[in-house]
Amino acid sequence: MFIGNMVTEAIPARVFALYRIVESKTGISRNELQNLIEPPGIYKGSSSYFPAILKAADELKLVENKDNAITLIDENRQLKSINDFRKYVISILPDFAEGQFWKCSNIIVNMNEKIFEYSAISDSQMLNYLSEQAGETITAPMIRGWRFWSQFLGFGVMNDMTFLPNAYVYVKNVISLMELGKKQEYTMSDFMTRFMQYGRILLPPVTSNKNLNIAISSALRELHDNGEIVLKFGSDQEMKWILYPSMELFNQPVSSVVYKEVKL
Amino acid sequence: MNREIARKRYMDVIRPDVMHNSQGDFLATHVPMKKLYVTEHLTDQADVPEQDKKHPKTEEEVYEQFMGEREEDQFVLVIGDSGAGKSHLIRWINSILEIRKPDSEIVLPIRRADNTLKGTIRQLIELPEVKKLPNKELYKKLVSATTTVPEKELKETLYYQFIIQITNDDGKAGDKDGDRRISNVDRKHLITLLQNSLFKARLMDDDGPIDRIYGKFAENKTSDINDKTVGFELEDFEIDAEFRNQLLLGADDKARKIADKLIGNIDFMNLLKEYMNLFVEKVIQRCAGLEPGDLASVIEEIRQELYKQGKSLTILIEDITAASGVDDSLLDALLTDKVEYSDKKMCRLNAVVGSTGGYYREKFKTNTKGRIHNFVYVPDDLFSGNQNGLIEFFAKYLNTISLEAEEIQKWVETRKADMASYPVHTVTIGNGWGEYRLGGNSINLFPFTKNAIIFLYEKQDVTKRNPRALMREIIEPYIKDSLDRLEEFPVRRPSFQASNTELQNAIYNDNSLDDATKIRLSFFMYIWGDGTLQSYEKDGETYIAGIPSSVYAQLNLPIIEGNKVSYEEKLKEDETIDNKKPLVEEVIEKENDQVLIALAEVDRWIENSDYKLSIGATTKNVKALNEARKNINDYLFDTIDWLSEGISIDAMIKIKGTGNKFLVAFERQTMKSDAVITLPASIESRKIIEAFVRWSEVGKKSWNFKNSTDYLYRVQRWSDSIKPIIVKAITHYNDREADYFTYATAAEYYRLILNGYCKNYQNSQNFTPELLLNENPAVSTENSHTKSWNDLMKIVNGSDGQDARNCVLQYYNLPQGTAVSSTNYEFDYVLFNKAVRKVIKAGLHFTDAELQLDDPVKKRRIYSEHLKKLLDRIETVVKEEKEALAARIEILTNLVDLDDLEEPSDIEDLVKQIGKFYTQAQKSHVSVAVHYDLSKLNYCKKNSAQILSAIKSAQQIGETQDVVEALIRLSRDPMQGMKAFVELLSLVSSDIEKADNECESRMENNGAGFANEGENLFQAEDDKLVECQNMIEEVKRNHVVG
Repeated sequence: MFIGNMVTEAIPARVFALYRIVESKTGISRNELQNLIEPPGIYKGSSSYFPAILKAADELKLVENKDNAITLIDENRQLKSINDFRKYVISILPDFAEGQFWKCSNIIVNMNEKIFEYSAISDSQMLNYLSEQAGETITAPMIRGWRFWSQFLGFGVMNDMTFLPNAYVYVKNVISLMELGKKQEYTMSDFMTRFMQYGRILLPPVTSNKNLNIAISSALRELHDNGEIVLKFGSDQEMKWILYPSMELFNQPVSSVVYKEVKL
Repeated sequence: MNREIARKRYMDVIRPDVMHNSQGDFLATHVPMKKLYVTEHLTDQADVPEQDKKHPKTEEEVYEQFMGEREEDQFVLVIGDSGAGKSHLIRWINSILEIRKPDSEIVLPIRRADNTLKGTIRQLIELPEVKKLPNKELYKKLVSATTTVPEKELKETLYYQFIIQITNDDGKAGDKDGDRRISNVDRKHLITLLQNSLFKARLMDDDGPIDRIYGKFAENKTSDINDKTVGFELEDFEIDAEFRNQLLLGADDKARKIADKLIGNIDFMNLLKEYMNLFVEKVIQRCAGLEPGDLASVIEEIRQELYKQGKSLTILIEDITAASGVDDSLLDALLTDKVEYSDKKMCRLNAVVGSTGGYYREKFKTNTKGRIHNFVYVPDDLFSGNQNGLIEFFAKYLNTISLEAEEIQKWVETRKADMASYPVHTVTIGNGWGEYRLGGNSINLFPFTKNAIIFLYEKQDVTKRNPRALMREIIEPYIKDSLDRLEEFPVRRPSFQASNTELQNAIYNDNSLDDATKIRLSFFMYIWGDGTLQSYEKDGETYIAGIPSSVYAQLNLPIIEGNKVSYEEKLKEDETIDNKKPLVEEVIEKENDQVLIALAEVDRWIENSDYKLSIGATTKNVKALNEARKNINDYLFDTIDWLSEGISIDAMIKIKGTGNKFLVAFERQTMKSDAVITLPASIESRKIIEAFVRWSEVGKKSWNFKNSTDYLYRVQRWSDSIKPIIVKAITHYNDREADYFTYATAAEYYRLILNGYCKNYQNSQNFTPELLLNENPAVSTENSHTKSWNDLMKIVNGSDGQDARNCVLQYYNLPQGTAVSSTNYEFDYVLFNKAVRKVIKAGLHFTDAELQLDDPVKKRRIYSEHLKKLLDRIETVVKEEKEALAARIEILTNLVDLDDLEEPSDIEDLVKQIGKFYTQAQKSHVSVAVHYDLSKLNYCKKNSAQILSAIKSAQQIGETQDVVEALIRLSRDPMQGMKAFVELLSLVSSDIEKADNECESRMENNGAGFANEGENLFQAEDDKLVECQNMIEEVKRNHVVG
């Protein structure tokens, strides 16, 4: 999913469900684990999804298979809830910068309004565009797999098969990873440097023009409108980032950000 | 405005009728017409050829061209759409003629009046020239045509006149040389249909064809000007299946035949419509008692009289439709050239006649059209490109309503209506609203401003920009609002698109204002004002959006803070905008109608706390809102990542699949619905609704439209804010978590018990979750259970039971989509295990109060109800099973000491003894020997362990108090286990008795018959009997109690 090709079977909830079994039954055999996820007494699928789910968990460095015993890689990492799981995956996303998931996310999110022209992300025209941009063939099943994770990680929401960018959930997680000080003001330069440590996946490859896409702009505006951060415009500040143009929302170049508190 | 005068005068000025049709008001409100087209030929569509449109003329030029002195006859047709101002122009010509004409010119004006034929004839008979007609018979005829006949009677006459005309027709409608219009058969059938009372009632209905013809002929029942062509319409002949069925009940065969032929046959309907319309004129003439040539004779006689006096004649007919019925012959008379009939000695005639384009196209005969060579076309958009004329038009009406009739009369009489001395009203309300400069005067524009007039004019459909429509649809209602409801002004909500949202955002984001005020203020500032947030000082007063603060105060509207600019800056800016205006107009895209209609409805809903948002009905405006509500719900169901929110897809589908259950509904909506979130009637909700209406109507179900990111952002932020409430509501009701998985699981466990899948458990506490994860199909009811047990089995294995099983298996399944029937299970095992263990721990016991039978979501409640059905029966089932078992045990206890049965071998020994008994019976020829069944005995011997276990189990069940535990034990079907043994012992018990009796009787016979003979001939048999008896005793002694 994150290293090789994207797959539809390894949806986030399944990977997390697998993690939770291993957490409660560490050292469980592969077969036993599969039987708990795909109960043989009722399972009627023609081909098992389990290997894909296990592979995704393995890629995400959640579990490992040693001598047919599946164990947690880090016993101390306690992912109590699916929100913890999301934050953890966001924290290790930069490790997959060469992967198909990373590439597709980056391309789609930076399409901005162009994405609205496609009725579905699995449109053949859209797939052609993605394949061209990614330099590798992107198929419909791959992009259907992408949709689960992009929605889960909070890049935007999926409305049927249309992707609607607004990375509020994702940016909130990244900000919480950035460990900012409450009520502290950060210049945009400082803020973006910290942001890029985790958040590059959504930023365009070239950021010299300091333009933010819809996904990040909407996220920052929503955080601002909710009082979780304060976007500030200071004409004396040198470095400003430009939010995606809006007729009715905060639309000034952002020169600094005051961190209030984000609640995950 | 002079409020006091306007209140009593405005209706008379705006809607003049026959009684209030003052020449003064007419002159005081007249705005010179500057865009008239003159042509000699109209196109086939009754339009002015393009080349003639290049040179529009003013009314003065038209007057000069057609009303100057002349020798030849002339006919001028003033043509234009309804309300364009034809009548107004003809009336103006009449006014000018009165002033300028030579004495030898006699002018006969025929006003539109109430636009009926009778009204027109009434005007004719009042004219001195007609009164003096030498032909007295003709005059009498005219007088009698105006006699008032009761409406009902006249309508009946009209109707039967049609039947008479058609009955006497040959299918050609009087056109002898023409083609037959309908076949004789159809004509006869049509007559029968017309005679049918149901069909007649339909045609005579209000607004039906007869009512319309009556309205044109005798009495205009509305205050509206009716210059439309009257006659039959296509829908008058539309017959649906229901009407046909009603007809069937009493109609003649012929009527039925033609009714059948009409169903869905548009060509035939058209044929009948056209055929019937051919008689309209004749029918009216018959009812008026006029001959086609009567009016022509009147004109001819007048012309002859005037000829004698050396005078000439001008006839001005405002609207030819007012002569419907005799219009054709009237036109013929007006087109009669004196040169062609020099023998008749008629004076010169100049006729100016008004007609709508439609009437000209449809009703003028081809040869009549060919005789007309002068057309004055009054375009519908008289004020297009003449903004000053438009405002003057409004100003003059506003001025006239505020002047007493006497004052205007004085102006006409003493000042000859000279514009230099045009009277201007004294303003009692409306200072600051702006003025129109007319000569040296200023006319107050209240309740309009220049901006408002232009906006409202442009808002009108292009076909409704004529003077009449502007009066009826703008001037009149807004004056009424300003007089009656100034504190709510502006009351009306014409939709508008804010090209500059800065002002709207400032108003809508002002938390000190309530929503209704926000909307009212927004409308006022955008439509009456200039729609900007700018404020400036002028003559010591603050202006915001171009409106002085005193005007806001008059309306009790708040004053919001604007961006300050100097008056000079503002003037400069306005100048620039004005210069650029045509360019800007081209760039602005036309706003989507559905969006505007929907928003107008939403605004009304926000402003009026008693207004119900009408959704679910079929009218167009609410359709967009109904769609919006559906789309909001779909959006939320679709975009919330349910699994990540910890919500089972099964739980979400339960809500989504409930017809009347919505995530979101509107406050005060007409349609009842059970919703999680109620969108309050507020500006915030308006924004969300607007976004969804745009998504559907502008983006055609996509966000691919201008500024969509802002709308999408609104939706996303809003849905993020309500997500926690929705997520909670999906799994809760009345603050309780809906626990239907528990009930489904308990029901499934009961199903497994009853189907015998839990035999090996002592009690439910030992059940495992894995027990549920097998195929576990329903088993047959061929068993030894009671009827009540098997009835319950049928229930658990029925469709409700299957549903419960599906729920158990799907609730913690993690599908890729939203299907809840996939058998490609990918389990969230940890959660499944935890939830099932909770059920096991509860011991499958639930009181009614614990069952959540009050869950309003039926799709969840079915599991509670199903489980309750099982629980209600289980106790009875267990009781009946126990009783049945006890009965068997009792049989055994009567025959055997059950305490002696400790090992299976004890049973085997007993069976062996029974075998011996029957063998002996055979030997001794005792009749019970026929019951000797070795296979039965062998079966019991072979299954001795099972029999023993069943007996022990049955004994335990009797002592088990817990029904679930008893049920589990009963599921082993001990009855079945004991069955063969109980049957065997029962048989043996009765056979022993029989054999005993038989032996005794034989012994007695033996003793009685042979005792005296000293020797026993049957000693051998006796011995056997004794042996047999001993054996019986032994069996009895050993195993049978008592």
